[in-house]
Amino acid sequence: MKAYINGTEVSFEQGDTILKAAKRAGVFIPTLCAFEPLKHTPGSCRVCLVETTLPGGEPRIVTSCNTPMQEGMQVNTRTQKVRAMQRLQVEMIFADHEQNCSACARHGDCELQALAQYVGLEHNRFSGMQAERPVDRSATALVRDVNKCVRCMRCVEVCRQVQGIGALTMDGVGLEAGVGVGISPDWASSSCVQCGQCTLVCPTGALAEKDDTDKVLDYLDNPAITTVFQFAPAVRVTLSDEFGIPRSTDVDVTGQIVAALRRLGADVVLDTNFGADVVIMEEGTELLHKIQEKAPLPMFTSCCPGWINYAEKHFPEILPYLSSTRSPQQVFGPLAKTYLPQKMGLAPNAIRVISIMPCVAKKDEAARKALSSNGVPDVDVVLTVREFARLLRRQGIDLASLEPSAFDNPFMSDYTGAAAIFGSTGGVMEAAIRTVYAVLNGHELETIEIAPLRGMEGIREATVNLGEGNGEVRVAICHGLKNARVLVEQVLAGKSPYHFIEVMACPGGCVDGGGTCRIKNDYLPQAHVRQQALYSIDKKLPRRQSHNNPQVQKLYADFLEKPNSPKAHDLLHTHYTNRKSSTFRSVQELWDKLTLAD
Amino acid sequence: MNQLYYGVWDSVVYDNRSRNGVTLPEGLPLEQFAQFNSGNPTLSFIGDKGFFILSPHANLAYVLWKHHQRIAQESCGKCTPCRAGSRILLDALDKARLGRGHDVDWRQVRAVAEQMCDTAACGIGQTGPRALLAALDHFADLLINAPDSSALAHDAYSTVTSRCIEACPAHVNVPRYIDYIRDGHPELAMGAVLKHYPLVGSCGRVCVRLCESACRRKTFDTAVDIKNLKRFAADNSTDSMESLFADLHVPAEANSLRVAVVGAGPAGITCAYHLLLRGYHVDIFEKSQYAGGMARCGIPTYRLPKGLLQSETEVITRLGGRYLYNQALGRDFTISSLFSQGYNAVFIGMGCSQGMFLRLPDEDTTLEGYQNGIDFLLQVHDGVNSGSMPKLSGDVVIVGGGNVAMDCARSAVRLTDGTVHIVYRRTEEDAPADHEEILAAKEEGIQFHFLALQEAILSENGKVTGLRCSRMEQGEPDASGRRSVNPVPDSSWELPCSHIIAAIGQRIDHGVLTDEDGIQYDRRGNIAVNEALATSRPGVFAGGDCATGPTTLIGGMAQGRTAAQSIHDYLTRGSIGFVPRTRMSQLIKLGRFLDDGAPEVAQMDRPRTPLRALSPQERDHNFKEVDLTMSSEDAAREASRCMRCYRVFSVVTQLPIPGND
Repeated sequence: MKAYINGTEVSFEQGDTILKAAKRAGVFIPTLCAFEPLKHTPGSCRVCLVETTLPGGEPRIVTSCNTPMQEGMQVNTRTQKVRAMQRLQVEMIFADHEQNCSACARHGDCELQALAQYVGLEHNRFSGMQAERPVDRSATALVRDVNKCVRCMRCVEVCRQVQGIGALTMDGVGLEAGVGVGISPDWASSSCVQCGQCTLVCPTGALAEKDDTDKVLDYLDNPAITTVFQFAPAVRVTLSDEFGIPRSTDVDVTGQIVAALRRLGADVVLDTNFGADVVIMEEGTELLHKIQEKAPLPMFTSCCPGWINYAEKHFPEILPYLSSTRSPQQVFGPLAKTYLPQKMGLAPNAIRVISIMPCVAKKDEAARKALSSNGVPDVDVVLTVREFARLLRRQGIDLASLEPSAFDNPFMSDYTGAAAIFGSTGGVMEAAIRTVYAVLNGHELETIEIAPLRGMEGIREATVNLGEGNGEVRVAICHGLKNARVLVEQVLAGKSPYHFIEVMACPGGCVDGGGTCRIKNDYLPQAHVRQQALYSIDKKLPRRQSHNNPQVQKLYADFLEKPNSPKAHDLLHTHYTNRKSSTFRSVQELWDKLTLAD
Repeated sequence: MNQLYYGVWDSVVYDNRSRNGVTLPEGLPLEQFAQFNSGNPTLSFIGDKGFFILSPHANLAYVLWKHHQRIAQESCGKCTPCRAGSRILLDALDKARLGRGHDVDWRQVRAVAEQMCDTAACGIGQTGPRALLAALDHFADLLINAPDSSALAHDAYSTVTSRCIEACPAHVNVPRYIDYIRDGHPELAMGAVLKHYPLVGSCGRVCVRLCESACRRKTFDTAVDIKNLKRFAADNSTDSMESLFADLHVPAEANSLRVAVVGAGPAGITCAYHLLLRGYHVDIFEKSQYAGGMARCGIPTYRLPKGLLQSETEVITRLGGRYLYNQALGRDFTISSLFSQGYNAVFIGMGCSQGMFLRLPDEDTTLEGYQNGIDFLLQVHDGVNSGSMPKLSGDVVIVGGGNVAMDCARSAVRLTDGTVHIVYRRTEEDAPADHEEILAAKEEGIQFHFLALQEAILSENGKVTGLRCSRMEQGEPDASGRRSVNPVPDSSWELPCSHIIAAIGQRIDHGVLTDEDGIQYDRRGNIAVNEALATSRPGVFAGGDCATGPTTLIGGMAQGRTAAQSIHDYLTRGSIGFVPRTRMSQLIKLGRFLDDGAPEVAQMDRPRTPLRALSPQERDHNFKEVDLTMSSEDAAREASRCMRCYRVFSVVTQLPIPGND
């Protein structure tokens, strides 16, 4: 089928929108709300205007995102009228948009600012129409500023489509319309699990992580404090994006991060990967006990705080099936405040643990009461990858130009390939199987890499032979909470065939966590590349099973005794609580919220 | 009488300000617009295609300002031009109506109004400012130089409606609740419907969907799946009906007044619901042992699970109403006895409970194996309740082409070991049953015999053995466009069977009302009522099937609400009041303002999201609910197919409009 865009003949297919056909033909049409990766065309911003003329018809202005391309149609994307109307539209978006741009986390990385440039905005005649609404800072990890909402509904869509939760909603009408948190009074009390996927798709600063960079600078500035840094497996393959280091399946900026932390003045630079190896020792042992004691199975992994929140808030009945082992971040925290000072001769009270994570839910996790001792949190501050990049920029450090540096701590910095792959969906499972097999058989698995556990399918399953006389285990892996729900409901219905299930809340796992680098107008474009980068790190390491980490062996020999020992239980395990909302509303409360008249 | 003073409609300008003859819009009975309510002159009428000023007393800036107040209030705020534009236009008109039109940048106003009309996402923005643009084009001086109107004591009424809303007997704001679903608020969608009636989940399963017939999406692909979206809202509202109505504090207004409702069907329950919400004491007298009426015993549980309906009918009890079971009109009480017991008003919603037989020559209704549809469905209902189903064996023939026939056939196929046949005298296209019901029946193996007329029941030893039928052929279309059917001579054939179920209609049980009750029937044998649903006896109202003949769940519920309003008016004012919304619907109908067809801009082809259902194997010989509820993702996708074909209509009147609060 044929049509014309700006006078040039283009071919298109039945069902193409004008926007799609134009994109294919290399013709740019400015848009704001449309979001191709989620197939999301809410048609709300109304900026993508073009002039269309059908053979024998009159010219007509239409939105290109949801108008079909038709045979013989003449599309013009840049008539004077089109440009004027696009400009007026953007001007009207700014009419009620909070314009304190210089104080916005998205300054310079904002899709609305970019849009203003695309349409050549000249003035802002309607500014100041917004209904001033309070910024919602109730949640531990996230901030919601409706005054910056452009009503694109991408967040509503990602929460519903990818996570299957629907915690985020569109609330209010007219100038009051904007992103809401369901029928809850604030974000903290909503059904949100703080995964932060919404912050990856928000075009403006309406939804963002809570910025804790100043807290870290306060610690660094205080000579009485010993700063202990850890960074998660996925950070070394995602932070690179923030500094323009080309994406590749070999990227690994561990050395640059170590160098950057030293430049910042960190006292002790360690690695969350060490904690991941310890997690495998604890969780693997827990699984073996459960199988041997014929305890109710499956056992679910517990490394992902988004998943823990989901289980507590949405399916509390599943909590008994969760491993009690803490996540790597939270295994690391208490060890850094007990074992490490013992070994290094530091004052425990002076230690502040600072995590760099690809995750916003980790902020929420660090704030959990059960993960503190005597009121002191085991992990003091969590920075997302985005905040860490911001911190480095504020300190004038360009990661890309740093010479890599090596760890020098002999207690909590070494790691194996098993820990490295924790950042990808399937990684925790693979690491666990490597160690469980070795414990049962006294020798390592012949093929270290377990192919069926890898990949990007939303739900994957495998049967793993545990060696002569040890039978088989059936395992499943899922990522994205919509997929987790399927496996959880199966367990609750008594129909789950599995022994062990790995859940990661974010699609792709931590490599595409809610705290990673935003890619403008795109979503998870490099999940696969980042996953492969982690597998490359695994391949290059001399030791690829957690139990072979000499520092972990030393930890057990000198301090914890053995996996699941009382001391290990005390420091490295936790418990969960039912946090399902039990508030009931009366119909009058619903009616009070309705905007509905004759 | 008010004449058209000036105005613009559909790009035609009318200007009768000078005395040189009068031009009026063709085909529009504007004289019927002259008074909004009796004795109250209409000064202006504004709609999606322009405006009419009917009196020299109207202030153009003021009437447009009133219209735009509603537009700004209705703007959903998602699409840019309407969110900001509606406010910019309102602010300009606010200045103009205060006599400060010269302070307004009218060029900018025009640009914004045009931007709204040309680029807004829905009918509010696309059509709302057209009247303003027409005024600026043709009567700009009256607008810009309008005098200060702040001393005017005029009243105004507006409505925001669409084809689907007007098609719904209950005027449920369909696009609004669809939008709530898209926004992620199923509980508010449910709340929106609960404003109208309590049986939301039930209606979301069995409604006949007049709204979908009116849906403009049909001009591109298929109508929005409105019914199942409503069901989604009910199934996914985070709060149960039980908790929603647990501690509801109703106003103390009128709390000493008592109303008796006769019949716990959809009409009676909805009437009681609205009266209870207004603080009346309401008792529902019900002949059987359960609430729900025809929705309960007439609709099989594979379409409408009994537990769901029960949880919805329980709302009456939660609101402090009482069900008095096993209380039959004419046997246990009369209309007069209700008044002597101290009830201040009565609503009759007793339905049409008598199934009709085929009335063939020499018909013997006592034959074993012969019964009518209503009685059969009642047995099935009792069977589901008690666990002992009516016994059917061998082939079953259902006569009729409506939904009751489908319900009978689909119930029978779940009970018998033989084949189930449907005999209907017209074609499949002319069958009044829902198309989906016919499809489902076919999936379940039911054999259809269209253009077949029942002639005689065959029997042996007092037992049904078959049905003799003749073939029909189609004749000329009648006045309604439906083609007539005539028997083909000598075309008789026999359908052997052991059961015949007549599903050709039902009627009111005339035995329960006596002359002393003082309730008159209309010429079709239904209870005679006026527009306000008042019967011939003061204080007695009637609605639902007993007043209209067998209709629909939604029709019954709509009348229940109307009756509640009338009863409230009757008890508080002594007279039946004026309902502005009803009057507005009348005007919209008179002007045929919603009759325009397809939207001008083409839409993407987006077929309806398929609904999941049990496979025919999974339904075999059980009464499990067949259709499954949508996922929230599917519901959001389906909801986004709604084009929100809203139109704003407003009037300004000389005097206060009663009931306009």
